Amino acid sequence: MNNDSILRVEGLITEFSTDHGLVKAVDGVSFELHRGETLGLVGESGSGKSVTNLSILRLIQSPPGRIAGGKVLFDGHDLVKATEEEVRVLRGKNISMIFQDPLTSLNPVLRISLQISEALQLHHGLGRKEAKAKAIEMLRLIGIPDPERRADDYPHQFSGGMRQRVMIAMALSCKPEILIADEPTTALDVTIQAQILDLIKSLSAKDQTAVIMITHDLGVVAGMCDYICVMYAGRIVEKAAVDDLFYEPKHPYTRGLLDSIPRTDRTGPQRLYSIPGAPPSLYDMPEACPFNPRCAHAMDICRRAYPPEVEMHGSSPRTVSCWLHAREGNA
Amino acid sequence: MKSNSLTRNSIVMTGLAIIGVYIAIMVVSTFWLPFDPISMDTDHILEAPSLATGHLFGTDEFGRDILSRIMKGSTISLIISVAATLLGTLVGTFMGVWAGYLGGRWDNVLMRIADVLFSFPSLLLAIFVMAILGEKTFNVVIAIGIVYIPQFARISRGAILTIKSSEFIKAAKSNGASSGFILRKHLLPNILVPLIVQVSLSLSVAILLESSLSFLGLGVQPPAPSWGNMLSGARKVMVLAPWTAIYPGIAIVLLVLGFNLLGDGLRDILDPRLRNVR
Amino acid sequence: MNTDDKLLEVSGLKVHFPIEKGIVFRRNAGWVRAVDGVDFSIRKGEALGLVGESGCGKSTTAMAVAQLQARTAGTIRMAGIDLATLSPRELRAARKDFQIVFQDPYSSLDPRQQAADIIAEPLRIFVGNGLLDMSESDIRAKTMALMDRCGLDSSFANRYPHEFSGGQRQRIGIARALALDPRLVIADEPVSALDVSIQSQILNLLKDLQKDLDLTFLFIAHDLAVIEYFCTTIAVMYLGRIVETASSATLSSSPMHPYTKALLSAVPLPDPIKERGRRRIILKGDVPSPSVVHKGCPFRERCPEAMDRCALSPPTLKPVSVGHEVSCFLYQDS
Repeated sequence: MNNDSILRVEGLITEFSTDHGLVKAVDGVSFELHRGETLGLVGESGSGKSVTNLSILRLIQSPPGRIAGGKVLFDGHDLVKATEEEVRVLRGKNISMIFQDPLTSLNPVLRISLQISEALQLHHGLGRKEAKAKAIEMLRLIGIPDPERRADDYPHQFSGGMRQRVMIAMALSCKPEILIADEPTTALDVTIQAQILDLIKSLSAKDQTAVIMITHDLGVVAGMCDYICVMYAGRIVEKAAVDDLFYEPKHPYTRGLLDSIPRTDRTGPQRLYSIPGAPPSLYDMPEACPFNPRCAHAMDICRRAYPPEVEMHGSSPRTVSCWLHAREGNA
Repeated sequence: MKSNSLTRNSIVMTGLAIIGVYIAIMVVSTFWLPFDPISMDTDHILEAPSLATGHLFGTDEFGRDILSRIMKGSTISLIISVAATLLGTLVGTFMGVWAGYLGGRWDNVLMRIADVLFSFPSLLLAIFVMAILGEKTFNVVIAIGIVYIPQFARISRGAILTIKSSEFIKAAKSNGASSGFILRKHLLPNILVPLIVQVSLSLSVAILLESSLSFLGLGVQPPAPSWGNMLSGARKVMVLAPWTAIYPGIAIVLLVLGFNLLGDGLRDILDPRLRNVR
Repeated sequence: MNTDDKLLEVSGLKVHFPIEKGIVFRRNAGWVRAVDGVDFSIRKGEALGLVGESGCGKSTTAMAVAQLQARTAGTIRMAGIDLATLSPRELRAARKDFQIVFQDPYSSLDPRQQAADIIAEPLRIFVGNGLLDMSESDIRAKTMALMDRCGLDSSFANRYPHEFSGGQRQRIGIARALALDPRLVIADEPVSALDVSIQSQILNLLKDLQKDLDLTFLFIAHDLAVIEYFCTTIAVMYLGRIVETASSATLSSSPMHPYTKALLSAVPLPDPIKERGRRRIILKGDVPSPSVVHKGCPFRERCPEAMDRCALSPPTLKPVSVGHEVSCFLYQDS
């Protein structure tokens, strides 16, 4: 993994206006993505992981949402301040995104070959015939059997797994620098998930594409990612290289999550740990650590102020936002 | 933002205010009217509106005070619209709920009947029914009610289909609940929202239908005043005495507006709130 | 094996849905074999897990056992009694013994009912049908007790579903399932729709309830790890049939059926070193449609160890050791 940083998010804040008040879905998120690296954004519902990624590509519906602060630095430009036109050029070409439900991401009335070709014609200026040939090539590459015939099928004639593969192929067809995968396998069966993750891994390795993988599944993250950001209530609570995170988690939330997942490699009578309570509602968040009501180690200061992000010692850079470690590391 | 629900509320409030005014007029008209709306006064034919004579909206071709006729007509229009809408709602919802819940051949039969009714333009269907039943005021209620049956059948059927396969219905079935129980306790309460919205909107169209029928001479028969037949009578003298058409026209337009605002506002208030609150 | 303590016995269960074509005159164009010959039994106090991917028939099996889905063939015996032999009234009475916990905490509760009424509804239905004698105050007391037992504060009794979180709604669903003091609980993917940190709360709740109330479970899930945690015995399903049955420990340590092996291999582990060192069995292709007729083993097309024999006729479940059955020619002679 080389040190070329291709994306830097600094202090991103995205808020939504609702009937019940202002919701800060993303409240000061910062991370860095390097060339060829796979970064995992892990969190549960309400953690802000999806909104973070939509914000990077300026896909937040405004109103009611808006990016209220921070920077998204790509290739020297701040995407937050760029014009709609500038961002549109980047989407699909330099930064691609795939979503959870391939059924709604594909146009149901257009043939598959047309949809793939469209992306190629748009971003690479290929002619119609060339684009179709390339589309068939791509279908073959992603493992669709009998690609010449299947290229003329409609999305509903493909299974969920195949559709997702088409989405991945489309996303990677223009050789983007970054692929953002938002819960790409959550809706798929586990054996199909294995195929898809395998495909993402091999295709992105081929062109050194950096991947941001958003998921709630810590198993997926363990197998796919080099570096992980754990999100809770709109903020990143811990950032670490994958081995550091899984074997030496620092934040009580990360520890709690890891202890509460059932695993197929540990059987026999055991009782899963469970984190008490539920993820907080994002309305009227007080000035405090959002995890404190559920934290076994909560101290008085946790209820009064949000802990600073502190760098921890380790073989690779890692940070944690927790009062337990605030004095340990370098603030 | 909080102002959003305020705007939504103000739409509903405006609609309710307008309807409220009409109801007030209707109530007042039962015991007091400025002039007799029915008896003719040949000395004061087609007089322009003036404060001096007391005819605030002028008189019509028979010398009758237009304001009084409008007030009296409000009773008839409101009662007919409400009754007709109620009829259509009850029969249509009954059909739609059974069609949606039972499915299969019942669904087919009931909805095909609704389709036949639906394929007629509303006014023509109403005229057709009136032609069969005769030109009594009560029949106007039936005619308009029949026009509404297919709409309510479709809406309630659609709403039922949406929730029929919900797990809470399966839960009730797993406890041996009868179809009647499920319909009463689970299905009907959950389809109230789209129905309420549709009722409000239908009331406005009912006013228009009644006015149209009366205008054509098929509805409320003269000398009883209805805004529709007032317009009909005004046709000949409109150029000379525009007030004979303007005021009944405004009366119709405002009430229709009121019901429309109510319906639109209710739809905005009732639905997103149920969707937004997670 | 003492047959007296078998609470649920399912044999030869088949659920086939007709495929109809045509708009005016509908004619049969084939069958979707959602459940195609399933046998299993659950002893009192045990938890049997049915695991498989989409289309394997596990949910349909559960619904058929719960008498919410008509079966095409086979028998379902509850405490020795064939449910098909019961009259409608007897069946309604028998329902108190098997209750369901549903998957979706959002659609399994009537949005227009208060929590206490949702939980009390089974009792009220039974009282209304003349099958239970309980006063209104008894019902209220029982509802409060159930809420307490399921970790719901009694002050929430008058709240509506949208005022609760996903985990709390699932607790309401569980309390409702316990209202009639059932013996068998059919849990259809009870934690699949919940956040990760809530899943273990609910699983632990179910485990505690199982112990305290001596409940028997038929547990449906697609998540193998959840099933292994909760259940004592596991049956792996593929295309409407059971391909392997074993105890939880045996299945994870020595799976035998190629599909089970692939399934286990595909489940990602939250352990980076193990993940990097894994040799994954990646199956080719997609799950075939349950409407296609298979002459041989239905898994043949995707099986990495398929033999010629597999194309001739489908294998059947046969024991390979105590409490371990596999339906695969790799382990069967003759």
